[in-house]
Amino acid sequence: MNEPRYIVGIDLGTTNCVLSYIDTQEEHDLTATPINIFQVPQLVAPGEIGEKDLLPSFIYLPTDQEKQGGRLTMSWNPFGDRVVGTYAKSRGAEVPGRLVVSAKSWLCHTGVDRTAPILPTDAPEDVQKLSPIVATASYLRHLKAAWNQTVAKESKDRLEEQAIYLTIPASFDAVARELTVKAASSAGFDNITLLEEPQAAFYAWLHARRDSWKEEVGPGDLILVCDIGGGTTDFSLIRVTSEDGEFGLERVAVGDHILLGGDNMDLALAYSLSEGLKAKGTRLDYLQMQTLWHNARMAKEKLLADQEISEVPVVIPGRGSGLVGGTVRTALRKEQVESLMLEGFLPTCKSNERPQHHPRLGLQEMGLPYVSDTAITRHLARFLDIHSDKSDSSQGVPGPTAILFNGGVLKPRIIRRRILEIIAPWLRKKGSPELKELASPDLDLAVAQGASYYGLVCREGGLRIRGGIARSYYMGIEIARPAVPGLPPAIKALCVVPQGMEEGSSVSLPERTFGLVVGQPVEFRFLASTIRPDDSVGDLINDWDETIEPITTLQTSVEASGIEPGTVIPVQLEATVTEIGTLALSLVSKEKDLRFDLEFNVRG
Amino acid sequence: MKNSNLHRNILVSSLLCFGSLTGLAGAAVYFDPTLMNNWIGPAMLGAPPAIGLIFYLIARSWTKEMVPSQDVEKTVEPAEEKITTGPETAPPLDKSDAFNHQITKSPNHQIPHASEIAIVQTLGLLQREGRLIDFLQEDIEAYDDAQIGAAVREVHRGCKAALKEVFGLSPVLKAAEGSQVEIEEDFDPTRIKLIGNIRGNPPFKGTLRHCGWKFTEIHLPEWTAKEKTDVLAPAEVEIL
Repeated sequence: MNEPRYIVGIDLGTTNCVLSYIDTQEEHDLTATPINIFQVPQLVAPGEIGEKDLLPSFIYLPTDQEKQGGRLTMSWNPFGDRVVGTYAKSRGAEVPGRLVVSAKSWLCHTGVDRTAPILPTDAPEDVQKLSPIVATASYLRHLKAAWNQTVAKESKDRLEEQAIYLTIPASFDAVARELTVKAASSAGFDNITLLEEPQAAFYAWLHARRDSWKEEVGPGDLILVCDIGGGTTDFSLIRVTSEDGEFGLERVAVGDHILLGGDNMDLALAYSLSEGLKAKGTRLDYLQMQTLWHNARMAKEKLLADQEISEVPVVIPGRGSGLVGGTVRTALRKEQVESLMLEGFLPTCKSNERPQHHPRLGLQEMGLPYVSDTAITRHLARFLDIHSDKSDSSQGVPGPTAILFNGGVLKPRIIRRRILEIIAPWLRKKGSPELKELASPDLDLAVAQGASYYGLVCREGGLRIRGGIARSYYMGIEIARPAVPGLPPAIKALCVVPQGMEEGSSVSLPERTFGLVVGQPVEFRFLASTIRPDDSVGDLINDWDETIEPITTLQTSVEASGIEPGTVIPVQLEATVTEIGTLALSLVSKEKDLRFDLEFNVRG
Repeated sequence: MKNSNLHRNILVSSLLCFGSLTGLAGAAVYFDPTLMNNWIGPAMLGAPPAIGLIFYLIARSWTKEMVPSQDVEKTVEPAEEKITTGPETAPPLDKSDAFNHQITKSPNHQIPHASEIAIVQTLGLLQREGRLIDFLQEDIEAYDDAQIGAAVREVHRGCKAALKEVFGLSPVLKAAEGSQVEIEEDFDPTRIKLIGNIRGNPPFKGTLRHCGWKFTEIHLPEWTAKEKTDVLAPAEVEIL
């Protein structure tokens, strides 16, 4: 048997990475095999290597002085020039200009050149910046080297030789997926498969429930996966189907990319506390703000865990060696948490409410496209409103019937209950039964665990979530009409990939032929939608308002040996959803037997 | 495995091995002196001693490498309790391979003593996470209890988290303080200290006043620095 020994799931999170694995030689009955969490060796302080189940997704770029003396080296990083993990996170708080954070959010940010070294955005001149792809690859490289040193006894056990299942947000479009694969391949992983995080969380639940899951949900159930991470929020809908008496699972919808998570909530609390201190004449510097952020989070968790507590002291110790003398005291009150966190991020809202767009004024600093409405519940209302209607018509399910939570923010029961309470009237109005909460096996580690389990299902057989590609994709075609001054030329959207197209399948547009001029570069507008499931290949959409969004352009240079430059050759578009979950588009000339692969423009 | 013995064995065996190779090469040159006229002869004569020298140097740095890790094991031995995490406190040899080149370059540097490392690590950790040294070194007479209490909250939170990360702690006697306990005939006086009115020989009956503490495991991070250090927490200078 040539199959790799380990099945590995990697959760490449915005704030933490987790690697889980199944050792296929451990047990005969693989479904009973435990899913292990790899203890990642990493610098915890200069010259000290500790092992932790989370690898914080932070890269610290040290100064030359720090690199001397070998206190930042790991055996696979002999010069200590990029520190990844726990120490990077704590050291970076002291030297923010040298810290790379949120690389994953930059990876799906269409406004910047994602191959250019832009991180950290405000680095001093002497710092060699990293591109979002290189930063993402750095985390994977760290995991690879750490694994190869501690687990791999033989060369065939090396991490890059294993079956790797890498999770990505469901909201990642084709371009972000492609870039993730590129980052993985530059880290030496050629054998990876992508899996959407909410699906991974659901697989973890399936694994934890084993055979008893059918007692909790059945055909007709629609499960909402609500994943609130440190920096992003991700929704998906999974339907339980029944074909010839067999249960099936289908992912029917994914949400948009929402840059909003637990970190925002804690930061909001910290700012509120620091405003209170400022009013009393105490100003905090940025390092004390870091401590306050951290301590406010813990105070919040305490308050949320116990309804009896009305106030939790928050302390920021003095900065110098005079600890007691410099200590600043304040307290987080229950009302503050309720008003800021619950009303600010999880406000009660109606099912037809939409996130509010505040127009942004003036020039903006180059940065991540954070959402302007922090109300997660309004984003959820929009998501459900758009997608539930769809299921209404096809399956007779007016709304979700069960919910699976994921993400560390949702640990306090009161927050999960709050979300359930807000959704309840939406469902009552539609006459749906109450939401059933499915218990997550582990809100922090489920995504990584689920990815390993998915790998096991792929290898050994078992129930897989179907659903195919989450978006429909379009090419922008300019409409030939007289130019009107002041109006941009109108664009029609030609559907080239329908939503739900399965991995490993291809479609082409036989009835539409494009003329390519040999020797000239070609560029197409490329658009996508998560909310037009009924479009099929070849549909030309005139009026699409906000249902379709431009994501980037597609390019290729048409060079063919033996053909005179300037010749026009007829080509047809062919689209393939690859087995690993990426999208490949090419222009094919059957008569000349030529193929031009189209590449995503990731240069912003 | 005694370190000096190993050292000597490596030296003797490498001398023997490479001496005989040199002898063989010499004999070859004796029988066919033309070998000396091209590169083969000198190479045959020169290579074994040269390889031997390199091998010896590498072996020496290897055995040096092992000194600190052995001592770590020794310092925790007297503490009776089985250390479940031996490999973490004593880094396996292959992990340090990457540093060999540094050691051969400067063989005279001072190697930090294992007990010193453990102190630097533990105190450094308690300071880093819980500001313990700052707290103990500060003159707290001038402050009121509320101010001290607020600071202690932070020290307590940090030190507790640090302790939890590095040591597994459990009481020596798992009974409620104040309850009656029986002291067996063969009790271990290092684990149980008798106080009060001790008469005759055990078994005794007594009241548990303090349940004691022991560690069940030690998870000190692997220490990679090669130079001696006396720094528990570096001075901090902010560049504005």
